[in-house]
Amino acid sequence: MRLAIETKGLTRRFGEFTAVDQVSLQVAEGSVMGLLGPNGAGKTTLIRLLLGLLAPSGGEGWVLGHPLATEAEAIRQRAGYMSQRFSLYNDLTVAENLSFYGQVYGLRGSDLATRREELLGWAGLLDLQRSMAGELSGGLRQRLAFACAIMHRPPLLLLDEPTSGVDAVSRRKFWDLIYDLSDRGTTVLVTTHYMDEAEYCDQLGMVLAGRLVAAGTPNELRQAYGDGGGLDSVFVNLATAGKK
Amino acid sequence: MSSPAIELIGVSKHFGAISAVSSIDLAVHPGELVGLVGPDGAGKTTLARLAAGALAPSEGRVEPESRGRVGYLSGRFSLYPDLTVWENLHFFAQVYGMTRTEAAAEGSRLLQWVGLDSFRDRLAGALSGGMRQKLALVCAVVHHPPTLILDEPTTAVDPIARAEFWRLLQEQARHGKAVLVTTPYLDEASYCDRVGLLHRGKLLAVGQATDLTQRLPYQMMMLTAQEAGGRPRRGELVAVAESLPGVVWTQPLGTGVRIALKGDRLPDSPAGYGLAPVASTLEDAYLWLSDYAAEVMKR
Repeated sequence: MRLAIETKGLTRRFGEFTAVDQVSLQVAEGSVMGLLGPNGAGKTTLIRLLLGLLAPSGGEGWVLGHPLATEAEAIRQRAGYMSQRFSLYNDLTVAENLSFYGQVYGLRGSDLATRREELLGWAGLLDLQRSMAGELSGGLRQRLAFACAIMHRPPLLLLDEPTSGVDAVSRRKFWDLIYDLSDRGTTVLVTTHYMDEAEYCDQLGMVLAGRLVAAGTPNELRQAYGDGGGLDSVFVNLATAGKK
Repeated sequence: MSSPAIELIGVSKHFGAISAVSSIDLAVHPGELVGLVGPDGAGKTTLARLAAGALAPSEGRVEPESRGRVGYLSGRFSLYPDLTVWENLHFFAQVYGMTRTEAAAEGSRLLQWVGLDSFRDRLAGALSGGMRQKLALVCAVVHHPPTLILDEPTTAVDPIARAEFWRLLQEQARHGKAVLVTTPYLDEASYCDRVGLLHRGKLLAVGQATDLTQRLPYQMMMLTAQEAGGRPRRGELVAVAESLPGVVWTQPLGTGVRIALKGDRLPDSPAGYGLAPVASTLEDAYLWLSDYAAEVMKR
């Protein structure tokens, strides 16, 4: 099994506060891994560490084979990232947003145009390519942001609560897109607040107070911590145990 | 049953040419916790504001017209971040005309109730999202309103804090209050006595979550690949699922594909695959009621 992400004891402190505490994480190439945890548990900090946007205070990690400590720039060029507060340019059209992000990642000329057309079709945005991004509904904005994040064909995608606030149908369509990328070998790491959404993931990691307290497939976690209930019970049981 | 604490009768609200909600009939009785569930843009906030009397309907009416005191808590509820928990509580109590003594007694009791008593001197701006919502709830109920209307109190709050918050609301209903809550999360419907499913300004259905789920006229099944090991190729599984007779929609999920099937005779497992019935969810019922089925079948 080849790993797209591997960390050993990865730690990040802010002054006295340890936001990410000794996290050892393995994400297999081509898999979809979900990170669950309450607000403030450290999920976003962990993603920022993996993107090389923050330097670790301790431990080590490799992303797409690049060491975090020395090759953060290479990681940022090769990974795709979309956060819950994704930034689209509201006064640019759908197609212009895609072009902009493509250029940021170094696409030019016919490469850029081809990739843009391909993703407009893939994300179901062809008919809307001349609409202003600011006029799109939540679900369509999210699909556009997703397409922007993969203009440069990243082999790894980091999604930080990408489906907050979108409706059930849009959420299903979004996961169809994620699965399509996963089928073609892209590795996906996603954080979510929706317990039913956790069921979509191949692997899950539960983050509490900066620590990775449990990891496994949804079935493994249900059997180990579910107490006969679903993933929401897993979450509550682990969090309650963590508080004690 | 007792007469409703709030009743919306044929209520519509237009903003210019846009119809935010249309022809809504909904009643909330004392002692009842009613949820309004729907995505962003479905009309939840408009409906909450209509019910609270903060907006006048374009058509229909909201009863009782001369409604007594309503506790209204909006998702964008503004606590004063540079005041402490205790000062916020006092401020709202005084706005509602309570004396200092009343506010102090009631405030202490309520902070204990929500588990914030040890945080009374903390600035509201320094509270976590879950704690802020609890303080907002306390500020909304400090004057003992018989009716509580809360607009998206749990949005962007983590699942544990959400579960705790719902338990507080259930307690309010048990003590006789009529409670109306909007939420974008379908899984929160299980906390409510009844839920209304809202879609593009229309109320698709109102009832107990389990009853609404059972209305789904399709059998939900899960298709999985039988050979063990290796990651499933989702595209292949979906193609197999879509070739089954009676398929209405498919949803790749984890290691398999969930399928909605119609018809009396369920298909046999295709060779090399497993096909087993699974429970339907409120989300399935919502998709059916909102014509998702018709949309995907047209495709």
